[in-house]
Amino acid sequence: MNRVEYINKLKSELGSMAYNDVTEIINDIEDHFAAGIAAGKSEEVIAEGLGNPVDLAKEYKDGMDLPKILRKKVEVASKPAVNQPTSGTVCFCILMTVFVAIPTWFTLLAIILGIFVIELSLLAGAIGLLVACWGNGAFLLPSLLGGITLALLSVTGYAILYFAIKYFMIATKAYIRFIKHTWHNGL
Amino acid sequence: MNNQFKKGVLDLCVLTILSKGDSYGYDVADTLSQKIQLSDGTVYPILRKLASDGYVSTYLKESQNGPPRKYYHLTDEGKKLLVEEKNDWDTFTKAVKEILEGIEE
Repeated sequence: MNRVEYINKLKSELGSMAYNDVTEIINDIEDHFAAGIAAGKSEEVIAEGLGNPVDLAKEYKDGMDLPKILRKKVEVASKPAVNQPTSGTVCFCILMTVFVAIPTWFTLLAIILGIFVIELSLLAGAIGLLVACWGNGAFLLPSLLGGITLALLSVTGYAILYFAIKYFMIATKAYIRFIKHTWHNGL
Repeated sequence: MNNQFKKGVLDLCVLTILSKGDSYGYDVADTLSQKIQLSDGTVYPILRKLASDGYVSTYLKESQNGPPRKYYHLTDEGKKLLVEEKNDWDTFTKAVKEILEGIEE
């Protein structure tokens, strides 16, 4: 096999690769022939030394063809999609926040503060009645029972307050997440 | 010699040859085939892969007889890879040698 035969065979075996890659590979092998001839070897001896062109083409294909393509695809796929929010999305986020979310948020906050104030008065009432038991023998039983009732109501109220605050915060966070998500990904 | 043996370490051999100085394809193939029985063509896919991974860079240089030659240069990445692969190879061959000689720890 001489140089031209070898190159042609290699070229046809590399057929499935990208044109640029084939050109570069053929250039490399042409250079190899040139260097061998400069060193005084015959084309046939150099071709023999290079090995079977079918095997060589296979090694080139194993080495890079597919992985290079795959790498590019993976890069593209893993890139997070950065969407510019559309004007519709912007309008929705702003209107939703100004006219629905903020009023609701303040209403809930007011309710929680209300519960808190009621709590304080219940507690104060309970303490007042229990203290009153001390000096007042005539109303001992009613004051004692009233005081205990108020104290229990107060404890229940604090439990309600605790959960109210907790869910209030969870809901606030969820709303912020929702708006962020809508902003980035559209409706 | 078993071809599977050679395949894994040719990268290491090519990196080592280039660490001694820039070289062109024919020269790398020649240096390798003096020691290991293999087709000269084998080094080209390896050099191409190393180049595409950034372990070697290439440049053209005039030659006294014939067209300009494509020279390969080991990059800093390539030097790092060489150290790693050399360590791996040394550890591996030491272990294999111990197994073959039946030395126990």
